[in-house]
Amino acid sequence: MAEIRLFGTPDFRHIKAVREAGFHSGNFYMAVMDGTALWDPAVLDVITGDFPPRLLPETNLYLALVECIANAALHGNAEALGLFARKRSGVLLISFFQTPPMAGIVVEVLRLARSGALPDYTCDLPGGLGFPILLRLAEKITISHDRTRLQLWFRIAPEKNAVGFLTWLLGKRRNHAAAARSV
Amino acid sequence: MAFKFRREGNELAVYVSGALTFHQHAEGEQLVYQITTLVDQGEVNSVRLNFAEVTRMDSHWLGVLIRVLRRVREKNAGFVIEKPAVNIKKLFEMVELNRIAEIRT
Repeated sequence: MAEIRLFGTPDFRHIKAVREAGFHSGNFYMAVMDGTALWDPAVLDVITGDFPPRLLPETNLYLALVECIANAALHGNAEALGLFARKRSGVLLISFFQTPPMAGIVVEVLRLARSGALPDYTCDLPGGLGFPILLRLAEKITISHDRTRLQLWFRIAPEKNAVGFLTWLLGKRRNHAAAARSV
Repeated sequence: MAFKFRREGNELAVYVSGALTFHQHAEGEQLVYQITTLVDQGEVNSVRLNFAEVTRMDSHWLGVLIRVLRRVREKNAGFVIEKPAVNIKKLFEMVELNRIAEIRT
């Protein structure tokens, strides 16, 4: 399982909550951001760079991440946000855990976006374009009943990406081993 | 991100560069204010946004563009977005922005 990458200085209880919420032996990426890190654009570049290449087009990955982080920072008043990613056969799951939970309106905004209709641009945009964009990028989006988790499922081509993913994973393990030896 | 204004007669050309994401929330508000002030005062009757140097964009900035567009249209002024990169153009197509705005590649 991957180590948790910390952005900013998240509180210990937040790290613990995120770890408990997102624990899964199949996670290849885990991160926790504090409220300040959510507003740091460099964090997005680091996370995008940390992901194995070719799982998703880089621009789609960046767009999905920025929309979810914006949701937590702008509309969720998140104090901390956890990010987990795991892959199984042809599916990539990117999961966010936030504390405190998302506002209740988010569920309604997602329901509206699922109807498939884009907002009427001639009037104020109810809920904006974040979820309509995410629904065009991801196969499925869900929000947990307690509104702490936002999960995005992406379809990926397993045959095409398996070799690239394994090469990335082995390289990462080698780097960790080399770093451990050098300490 | 950064933006530069250039007046060409009654046309306002705005050269935008860098990443346009929610992190640049304040700059978005400033851009809306500066453009709409000029349009409201009748100093320009056409706005051209040059996106050649824009690298990233999110839904927050789509909202910024739509707000500018609505204000410009209310004053019967023109509005064009030009030279978006492939990824930005794809985003515009995703949300069907071309239904309401002229996008020149």
